[in-house]
Amino acid sequence: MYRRALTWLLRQTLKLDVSINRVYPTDWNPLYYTGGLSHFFLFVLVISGILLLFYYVASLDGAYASVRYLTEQVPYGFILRGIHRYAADGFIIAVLLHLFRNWFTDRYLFARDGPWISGMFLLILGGFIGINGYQMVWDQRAQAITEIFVAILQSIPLAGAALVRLFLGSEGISGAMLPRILFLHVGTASFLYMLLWWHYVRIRHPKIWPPATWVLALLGLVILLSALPGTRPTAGAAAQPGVPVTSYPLDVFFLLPFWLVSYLPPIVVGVGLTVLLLLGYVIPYLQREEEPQMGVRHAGIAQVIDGNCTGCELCYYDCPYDAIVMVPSPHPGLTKAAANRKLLAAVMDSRCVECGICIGACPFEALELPKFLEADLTRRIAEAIQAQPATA
Amino acid sequence: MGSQRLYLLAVVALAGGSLLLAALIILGELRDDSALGGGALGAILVAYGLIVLCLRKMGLIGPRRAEGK
Amino acid sequence: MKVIGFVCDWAVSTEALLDAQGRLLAHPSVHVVRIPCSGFMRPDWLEESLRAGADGTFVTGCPYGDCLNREGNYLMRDRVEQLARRLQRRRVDPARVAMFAHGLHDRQAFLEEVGAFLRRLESLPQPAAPAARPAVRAAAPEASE
Repeated sequence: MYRRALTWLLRQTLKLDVSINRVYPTDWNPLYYTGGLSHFFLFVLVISGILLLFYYVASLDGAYASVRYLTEQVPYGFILRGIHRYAADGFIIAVLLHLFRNWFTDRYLFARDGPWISGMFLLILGGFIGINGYQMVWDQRAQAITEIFVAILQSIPLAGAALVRLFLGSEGISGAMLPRILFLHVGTASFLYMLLWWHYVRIRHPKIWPPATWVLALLGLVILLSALPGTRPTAGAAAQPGVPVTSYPLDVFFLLPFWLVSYLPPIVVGVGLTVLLLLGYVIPYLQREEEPQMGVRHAGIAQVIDGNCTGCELCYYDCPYDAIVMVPSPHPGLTKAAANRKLLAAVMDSRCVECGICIGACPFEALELPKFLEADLTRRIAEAIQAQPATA
Repeated sequence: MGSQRLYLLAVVALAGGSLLLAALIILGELRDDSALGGGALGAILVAYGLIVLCLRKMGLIGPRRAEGK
Repeated sequence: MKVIGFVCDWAVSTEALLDAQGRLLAHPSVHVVRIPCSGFMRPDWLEESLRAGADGTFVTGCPYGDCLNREGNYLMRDRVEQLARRLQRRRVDPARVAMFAHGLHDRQAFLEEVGAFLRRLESLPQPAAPAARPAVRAAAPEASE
């Protein structure tokens, strides 16, 4: 059931590519760069965030005033705010596209669960950082979501009060709150880059930047949205702790759980979110049956044929997952070419995804896939040549 | 070829539009109108992105160096 | 005419396109062998296909930028180009070896490109020198028999 749904989703995802590849050359298809798009938006967020930090005052009295000053008095101030906000929305969109595309196209198998797990952490922390951002403005919306957030935390048995102290700096809304939230916002954002190291570490040549046309167009779109009258950021009304907030504009990317709380009890929202995220973590480990066509063939981990390896390093350079290392050769090889070798290739089982690219790279027949040997291929070729021509 | 001319026309139109938008940026600066300047800046970047796409479709620029050839 | 095509597991879907022996219904001279990744093909094996008697051979991978294994199709494209140069030195027409890139749903485009490849093969002088005649004769046990 799960498998069939996933296969259907995979086919639909790739069908989307057909339309997009009519407009864009395939190596500029934005869906092939969803990771790069996320990284680009993160970069814009960091730069615009640093600039915003020059104006922000992290105190209950000063926060709203400083944001309002930036929005209304500083030339291009509201543009800067808008860039930060729309880049954040763009970041979440890109990250979700990245998640769904990599999920539907099976790009999490074998050693690729590392990027997946770190990616889930990145998603959660990204969402959390966004919520902090909305809190920092300390307007009516910030007050409302802070109160809901506190309510959700307090509904957690045992740990509730401690969590409130962690996220707010004290038992409730106080002078300690905004500096704490500022730290959580900026510190977690820095921590994202450490998670990104984990995210990239097993991938060779990660596509960190999208193609130029997308960098220009998306940066321009973000700036344009900040300037247009309908989408321009404005300063709402200031927060008044103690006075209940009736309504506030919703940002669907970060504030959806808060909207849900108006319909469901906070504990349900909290538990529901947690379950959803835990399911996300489990995805790489839900085995799909191998169907060689449009499935990942489990051809067996690449095996080095010790006797033939000459230490030429071609497989080492070609492996997309850094799964091959060159070790000093402990003994000479058997063939003439391998007899004088200095290095020997070694496949790291934990990193091999059984793709076979190293087999194609090796000129000395020193690598084989256990379930698809050179002999198998040669036999298929011979069969094809000897097959009788199709009767018309 | 027909499509080449179409893309060339698009590039010329976008370039002309970009010139106009650049003038709007300057106008925004003169009038202290951040919305005008900012909006024009955003639009000009989108126009540049489209110009790059048209140049690629025309074959004048090639794939990313990382992708080879 | 015989052509052997190697199509990777993630490229164009050939489910509906093959007959029972693995020949393309649209082009019955083409036999399709499915491989794990387009990068799996050793250039030697493409030469082997020609040596065994095929008139042409091609590898089909995913659209550039979307290889499941990220770089397989780029690597294979580079290898096929290098192979083409080597074949030229051996007086084999490099047009006999080709690299295509087609996604799951690109059946139409794939069949058209294969058709164009076949037409190109038909126009080549038949046969180009026997592909890769060994320069060194195997030490002939037959000679002493």
